[in-house]
Amino acid sequence: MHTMPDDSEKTEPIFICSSTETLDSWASNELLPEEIQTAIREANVLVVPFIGHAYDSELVYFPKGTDVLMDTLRAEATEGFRPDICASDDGYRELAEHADVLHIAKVVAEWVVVPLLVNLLAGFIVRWRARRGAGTVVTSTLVLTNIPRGQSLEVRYDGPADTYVEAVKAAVAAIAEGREDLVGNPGLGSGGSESQ
Amino acid sequence: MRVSKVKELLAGVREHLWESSLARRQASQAIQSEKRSAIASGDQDLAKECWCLETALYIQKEFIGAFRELKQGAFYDAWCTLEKVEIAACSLSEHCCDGDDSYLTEFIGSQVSKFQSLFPYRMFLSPSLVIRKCRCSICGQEMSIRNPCGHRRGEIYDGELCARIVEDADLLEVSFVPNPVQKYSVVFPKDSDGASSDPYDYRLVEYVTRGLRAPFDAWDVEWTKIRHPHELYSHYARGDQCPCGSGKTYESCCLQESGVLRPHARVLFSVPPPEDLPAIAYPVAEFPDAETSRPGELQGKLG
Repeated sequence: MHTMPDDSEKTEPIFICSSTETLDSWASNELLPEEIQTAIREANVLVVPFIGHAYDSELVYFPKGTDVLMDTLRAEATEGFRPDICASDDGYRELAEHADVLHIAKVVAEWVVVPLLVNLLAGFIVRWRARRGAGTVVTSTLVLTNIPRGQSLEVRYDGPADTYVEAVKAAVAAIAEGREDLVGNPGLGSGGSESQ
Repeated sequence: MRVSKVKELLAGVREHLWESSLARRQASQAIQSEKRSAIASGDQDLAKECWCLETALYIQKEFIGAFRELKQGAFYDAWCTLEKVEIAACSLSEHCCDGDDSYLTEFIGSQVSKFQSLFPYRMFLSPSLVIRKCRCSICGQEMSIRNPCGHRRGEIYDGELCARIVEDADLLEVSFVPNPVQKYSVVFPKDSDGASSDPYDYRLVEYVTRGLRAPFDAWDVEWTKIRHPHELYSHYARGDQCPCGSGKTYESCCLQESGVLRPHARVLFSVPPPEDLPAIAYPVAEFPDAETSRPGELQGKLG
């Protein structure tokens, strides 16, 4: 459920599916030490780990650069934008992979902060890509909670870094419009046009 | 030496090529001295500028070194030196304080990419690591994801680049990849005696290096396809797959043409290359095609 997105189930850069994850479900997740469960209870933006890897099914990890992502999010923290991470210092593990892909940590966020979050992620991608070795392809998973009709939706992106913002914003706009037909295989990927 | 003189020397590298190691050492000392003063007076901007000068000096020195290694035929050494230059140039570009590229670091960065494209290395070993523990290079504090030290990776503090020093990591796996984060891990097979061998064909990079008279002479490469003489492919039977890679038989494809259509690198030198540089050196010595005219003076393409 929390593993890296499986490429086999989609063809478009954007893929939307329903999710059972919420901020509360993470705040009561037994994987996390009790003090972390308590600490993250106030957050409305949670960076969460991936669980399981092809070479280690029990590995709980965050992608390389998650510390920089947290810096980016914390720099914008306000009363209405409260980022945190589901990890203790002792339990935090970063996976430095070789691929020419920028894997962004999974983020669970309340619907109201999504516009700011997407802009911050866009800035993070630009900054990270300016560095050597950063990928031209981005993978990102956002779990949007408390969306207009109350459920959680997972918005995954796996595609060119250049079209990330446009595609994710289009997906968010479509969710705001209540277009439930998007869930599954929306075809929003290239430029955010509506599925036909 | 004063820092103003260092800037002059950095800007004039085409002429002096840092051939005087004394000048280079004095330049480095002058930057260090200026940086210490800047830190003492709390002038972070000046300390950062010193870091930029220091890095520009390093980039120039290493690039000239890589050129020398190429001329000597030490191709893997040159590859590694170019890699160091690329890493430094990328760090510098984030904090660029040389808008008109007067120290040629952007130029060097672009030349490094071109040199890299000529090398025959295509696959590299690359590890996946699970990082358990690391420290901040600025304050030495162990990294804490919940209570970070406040130094941001990639930023400059007191004239030093903030990085993470990994102290504990587990190797998860090692893969062959075409585009690793670091390109040092070229694969060299071992022969039956256990000795490393170098099976790579460096003729293309050797050709360009021979054609360049100095490290800062601009050059470019255009990748095209031209027809190569059939005699180079005489070991192919008529019914074999065409060496052009079309998937058709040789007989029904390029054998009907004047030659085999193959990739071709056309090199354009801004300074005319030495007279003894052959018109075509890779992969054939002679080739009677308009595309193969002697590499000559570059006409307005490199500015």
